[in-house]
Amino acid sequence: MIVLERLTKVYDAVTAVDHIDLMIPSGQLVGYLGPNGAGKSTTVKMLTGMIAPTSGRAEIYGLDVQQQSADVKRLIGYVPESGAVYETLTGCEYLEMVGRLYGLDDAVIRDRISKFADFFELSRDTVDRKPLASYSKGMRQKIVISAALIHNPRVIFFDEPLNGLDASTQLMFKTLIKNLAAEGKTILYCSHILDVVERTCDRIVIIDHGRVAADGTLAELRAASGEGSLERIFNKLTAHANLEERAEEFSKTFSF
Amino acid sequence: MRPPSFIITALARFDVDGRQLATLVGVYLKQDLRGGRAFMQFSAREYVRGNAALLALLGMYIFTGLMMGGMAFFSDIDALHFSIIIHTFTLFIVALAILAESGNVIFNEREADILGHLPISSRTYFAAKLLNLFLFTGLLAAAANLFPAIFGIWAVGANFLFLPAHALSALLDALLATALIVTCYGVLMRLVGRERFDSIIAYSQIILVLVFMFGFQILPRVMDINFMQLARGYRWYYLLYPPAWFAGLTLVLMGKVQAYAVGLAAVGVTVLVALGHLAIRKVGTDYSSFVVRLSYGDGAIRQRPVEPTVTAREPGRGLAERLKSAWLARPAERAAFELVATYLRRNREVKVRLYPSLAYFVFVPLLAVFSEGLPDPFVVRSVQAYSLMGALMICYVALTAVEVLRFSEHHEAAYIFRVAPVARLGDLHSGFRKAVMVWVSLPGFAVLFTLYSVLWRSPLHAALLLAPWVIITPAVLMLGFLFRETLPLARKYQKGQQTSRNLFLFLFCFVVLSLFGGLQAMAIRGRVPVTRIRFPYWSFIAFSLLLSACFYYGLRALSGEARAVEPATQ
Repeated sequence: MIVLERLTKVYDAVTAVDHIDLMIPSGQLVGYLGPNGAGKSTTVKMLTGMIAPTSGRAEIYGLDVQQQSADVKRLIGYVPESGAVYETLTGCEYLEMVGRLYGLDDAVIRDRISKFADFFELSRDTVDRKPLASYSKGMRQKIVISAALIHNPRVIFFDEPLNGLDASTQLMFKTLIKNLAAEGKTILYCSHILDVVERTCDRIVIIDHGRVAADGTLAELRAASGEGSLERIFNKLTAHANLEERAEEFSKTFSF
Repeated sequence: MRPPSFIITALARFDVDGRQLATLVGVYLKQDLRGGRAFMQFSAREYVRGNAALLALLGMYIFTGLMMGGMAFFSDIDALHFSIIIHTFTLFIVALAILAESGNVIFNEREADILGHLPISSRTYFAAKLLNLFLFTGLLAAAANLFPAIFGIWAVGANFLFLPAHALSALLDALLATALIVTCYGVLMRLVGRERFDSIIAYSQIILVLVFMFGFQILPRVMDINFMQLARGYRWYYLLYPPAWFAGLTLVLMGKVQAYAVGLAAVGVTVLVALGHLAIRKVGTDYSSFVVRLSYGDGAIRQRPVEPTVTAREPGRGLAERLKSAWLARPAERAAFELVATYLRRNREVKVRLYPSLAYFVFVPLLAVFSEGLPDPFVVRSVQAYSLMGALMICYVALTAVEVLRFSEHHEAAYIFRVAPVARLGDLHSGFRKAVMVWVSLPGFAVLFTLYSVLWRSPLHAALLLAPWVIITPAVLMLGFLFRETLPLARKYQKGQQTSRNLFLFLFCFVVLSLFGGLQAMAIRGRVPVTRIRFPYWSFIAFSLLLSACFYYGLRALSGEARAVEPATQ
């Protein structure tokens, strides 16, 4: 379970996250949406204990994220938007490092690395011997996702996890997260790909300018907005008016 | 800012687009001078709004220039030799700075993604790189020569024109060093693939550092030259010495048009023009394609086998592995150790920044061998400062390694240290320190041990001399972690940081560890000078143990290593 109470983050004069209140029960897969700069990644970084909030508080399974940071971190997994890894390490070395940081035994780490390599169809030769710098973006993303799951977390934060993944891996991943949620794991899924959120998430939270603009199931959002698709709901809540007309008008300026 | 049209026209003759060049150099300057922020910093104080490191470096060179320039007042040195000494110093600092900084400027892997698809000619791109580095080295040269250019007016035979003449020749000196190193890199990029380029750059920097140090320190000793004693007259071999070329140019520009000065100036200008021509015409022509080839690889690195991982070694876990597990008992400590150790061995950026420093502890004893010799201190009951300086340099290099390993091109991946439940910051620090100890300090001591054992024909004496330094190494390494969170590879590197930090560390090590060396010298003699108080060597070793333990645990407590990794404020 995740609880956010008036969670706020202010950078100089900019309020990235503005008094957000949310409650996410165990086993729920929540799509966390918003336009660029809406505060999605900042919210996640506060929930993962990476940055300190300016005010407000957050709890994960009853543990205060700021006061009981180390205990909270044992419960969570995180896939960052940047997909950053230590590229000089091999995939195996990177996952061993992450596993050790979570305090896992080497034998357990090795066993889980094998399972992830099999699941993501990464050859053992690649994982064991090749530096991450030589991986494709998709292969690297598979390692990042494996790193987030290696300690079997109860809460998982995904920030644009499908970056670089091919169609079949995306399908496998979507099935995986649905099953993880069904097993009781709480998942916060940040994405711009509305189609995926529409089809996988139990609940959708849309934020804009750091505030919650909408919160509910897809059916509830449809009923409230009077729009049919999530794309239209999203645009109605977050974008300026007449987007299509403006795009059409702008395209005419290229007729030189 | 748009350059004047005559400059644009002149550059166009070399296939260099003046507007693009100005734009690129402007961007590079902004990158260099603006504050660099790490990925999620620990403290808001770490956010630097200007490049403080560069400013500190310039300040130190201005001060050093002030000290060196003073010799124009306090000796009867003539203008030529004063200028040669100052040019030697300039070439030395510029070359060392450019060796430390140029690797990532000349070949920036990520830049290929940003600029690779833009319509920028190869020569424009190359000229922008060259100019960017020259502005950096020119700034260093200007700082180092600020006072010498003024004080030189009072050197024997100089006049007020010394000021503009020396200022110009000092900049040309910096240009020569920049063009030489950039051209060498360019040629290397043309000749070898990505994987070999990385290795050759790292190892060639060690050689270049030794070459510059050899030229600066050892060569005058071998040739029995003392500039302060010479101080007059011209020697034919000045024609082979680059700083003398520019000293000759200073004389010519000052109006002293004598044959030897014109000859020296002519050699300098000719070499500079030839090098510029070679750089732009030959290296610059295909520069973009080399960068793209090296960035996206020729496939070599993709097949590169790396040493077997722990997984591969699992069936036969040897004694070393078990000892390692015992020494690195905490998983987070082990994780930090493996990460740092791997980057020390494999990462190009780390190698390029750190490996040249490794030349120092070989250089210092060599310097002694070429100057006063290096007698066995336990036989002559007196210690040569050089033999202790070698050990001191290992401490300095180890601290340099800590500084180097704080930065990485992969700094964004450091998020993992804030996300993972690391109970004690000290676990990460300890793994970091132990990796530096195992991969930098101990090999350094092994090299010195071998050298001294051979020179003194007594491994026991070599071991006795080095033992106190090995003992204090853990305490010395704590200095890199004092009062701050020092996560490995977690900060973005900014130009000038390495050079300035190295200089600070050098001064610090020199002052503090020299005191320790002084005590050791007393212990080798067996008594405290001027008194009859005995100071046996065993008591010094016991003192080292006590000192090391007190400092290690004291500094660890002061640095709050028991706390958890805290969230960033930025």
